[in-house]
Amino acid sequence: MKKKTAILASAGIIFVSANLFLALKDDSKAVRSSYINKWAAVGKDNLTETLSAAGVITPEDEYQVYYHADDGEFKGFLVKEGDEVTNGTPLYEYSSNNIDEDLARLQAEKSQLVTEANLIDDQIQQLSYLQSVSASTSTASTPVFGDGSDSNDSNELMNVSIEKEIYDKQREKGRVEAEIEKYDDMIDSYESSDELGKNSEVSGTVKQVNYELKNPIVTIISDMPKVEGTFSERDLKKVEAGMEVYVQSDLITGKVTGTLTKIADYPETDPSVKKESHYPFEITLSEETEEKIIKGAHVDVSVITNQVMNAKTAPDEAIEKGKKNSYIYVLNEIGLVEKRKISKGLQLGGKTELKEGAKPGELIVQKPENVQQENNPFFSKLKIDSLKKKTFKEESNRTIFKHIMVGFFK
Amino acid sequence: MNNTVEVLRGLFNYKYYTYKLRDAEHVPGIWKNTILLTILSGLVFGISAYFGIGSEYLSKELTSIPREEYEMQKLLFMAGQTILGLVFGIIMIFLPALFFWTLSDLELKKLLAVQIFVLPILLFEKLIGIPLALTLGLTQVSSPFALGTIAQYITGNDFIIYLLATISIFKVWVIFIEYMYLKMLTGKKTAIILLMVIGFNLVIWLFSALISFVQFDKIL
Repeated sequence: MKKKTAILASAGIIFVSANLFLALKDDSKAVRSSYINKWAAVGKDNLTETLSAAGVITPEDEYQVYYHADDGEFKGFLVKEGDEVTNGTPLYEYSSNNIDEDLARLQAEKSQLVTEANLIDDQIQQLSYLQSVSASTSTASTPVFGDGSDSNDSNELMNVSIEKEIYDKQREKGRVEAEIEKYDDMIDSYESSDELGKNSEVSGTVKQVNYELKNPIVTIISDMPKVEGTFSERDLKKVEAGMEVYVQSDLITGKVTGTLTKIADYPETDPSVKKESHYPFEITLSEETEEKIIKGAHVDVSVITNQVMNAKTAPDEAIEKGKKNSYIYVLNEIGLVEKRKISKGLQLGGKTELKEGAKPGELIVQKPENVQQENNPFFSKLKIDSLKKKTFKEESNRTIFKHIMVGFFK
Repeated sequence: MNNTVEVLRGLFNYKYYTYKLRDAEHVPGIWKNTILLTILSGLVFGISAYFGIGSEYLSKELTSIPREEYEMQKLLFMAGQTILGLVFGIIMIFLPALFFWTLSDLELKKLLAVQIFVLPILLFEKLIGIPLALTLGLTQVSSPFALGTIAQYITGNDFIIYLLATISIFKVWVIFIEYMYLKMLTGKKTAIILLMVIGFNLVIWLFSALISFVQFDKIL
C-alpha cells in the first residue's frame, strides 16, 4: 500500500511538473491569463526637462558716481546709504570758490562799467547844454573880447569842438554798454550753471556712500534684480545662453521666470585638477514679475533644457526594457494584452515620452512584470471603490440579470 | 459524534468510514454538512470571482465602457459565480447520489455522505486554482493538475481542450473515492462500479465542457 502511494505520488508530481513546464515555457501554446490590476492611460503632457542650480538674487547693475576735485570744492552728500533714488535725484553738491570769485569780479567790473556809462551820460548832457548856450549868444549879442577881434570866428570853432566832443562821448557810451551786456551774459551763464550739484542718472538704491571721498564716491544699484550662480562643469554642456529659467524660493510665492543671459567661459576660481570647476552664470528676471524680490535671497534655479509640448506619455514603470528596444503592453479592445515596441523620448518625473507605438488614451499595463504572456487574455480584481450605485440604477434589470447569467455559466 | 459525518476523516480514512457507513442505521449530520458545504462552495466560487478569475470575457469591454460600468459587470460576474458555487455544491452532492441511488439499493443518505466527502476535493481544486491564476496566469484551461495544457499542444479544438481541461488529478481522486465507497457499500463487481462512476463523471465533464464551450456572453 505504501509503495502504491509512493508510485501514485511520483506520477502525480511528474504529471504536474510536465504540465507546468509545458504551460510556462517560452512561447507556450497554453493560454495564460494575466492578472492585471493597474493600468494607465497613455497621457498627453507637457514635459519639461530642467537642470537645477543654486542661485542668489543680486542687483542687476551697479552704477558708480565719480567726483573730480577740479569740479570744485565738495560740500556734502544729499543721499545716504539705502536711500532710493530716481533719475535726476541730486546725490551730492559741491561749491566752486572760483566761480564765486569770478562772479563777484564780473559783477564789480559790471558796476564799474555802469558808473562809467552814467558819467558819460552826464558829460554828454553838459556838452549839449553848452552847445545850446553858445548858439544863442552868437546871434543875440556879440561879446567883445579884449583884443578887439571879431568874436564870431571863435564861436564857430567852439561849436564844432563841442559837437565833436558829444559825438565821441556817445561812441564811448555805446562801447561801455556793449561791455555791460557782455558782463551780463557772463554772469547769467555762471548763475544758470548746474555744476554745483551732481544728479543721479539711474533709478535704484544707494548702496554705498564713500565719506572719505574716494572714488567712486557713490554706488547706486539698480532696482531690477538678477540671479547669479554657478554651473558645475558637468552641467555646462546642457545649458546655453538664452534658455528659459524658473526661479523659486521660500521667499517668493510661485515661480518667477527669467532668461539665462550669461554663462562665463572661465571658472570662477583658478582651475584645479582636484576640484570641479564652477562657471558663473547670470539670469535676467522677466520684468512682469510683481513679486517683491529681496536681494540677497537664495533661490533654486531650474533651467529648462528640453521641452516637449503635448507629448504622449506613459509612466516609466510601464515600460519594459528589452535588449534593444523598449516595449509597452497595451490592453486592447479585443481583451488581449498586446506587446508594442515603442521609441522613447524625453524621460522626466516618472513619465516617459512615447514617440511611437501608442495613441493617447490607450490603456497600458502599469507593471509589465505582471504580464504572463503577450496576446493572451487578462483579468482584474473587482475594485469595489469604483462601483457606483448610479450605474446599477441606470442599467435595466434585464441586463443585470443577463450579466449574472453569463457569470453563472462561466 | 459517533455516527456523524466527519468530512475530512471520511475523505482520507475511507476504509474506517466505509465500515461505519455500512453498519450505520442512521447517518446524522447530512443536512448540516450539505448546507455548510454548499455555502462554502458559494464562498470559494465568490472569492475566485472576486479576483476576476474567469472574467476574461469582460476585458474587451475595458476600452469601450466607463470604469464604473466595467466594475459593475465584474460584480455581476461575481454574483453569478457565487450563485453558481451554491448550485454547484447542491448538484455535486445530490446529482451523483441520486444517480447511484437509482442504480443500487443503498440508502440515499449514505450516498449523500459519500458525496459530502467528494465535494471538498472539488472545492480544493477550485481554491488552489486561485493562487495559480494570480501568480502564474494558469487558469482552469491551463491548470497543471489537468489535461488542458497538453490538449492545447495537440489540438486546436476548443471543445476537446475544455473537456480535457476538466479532467484533473482531483477528478481522478473523486472517482477513486466514489469507487471505493460504492464498492464497499454495495459489494458489486469492480467493472460495474467503475463503469457507473466513470460513466457518470464523464457525463458531468462533457456537460461542463459544453458550458465552457458555449459562449453565453455572446448569446445572451
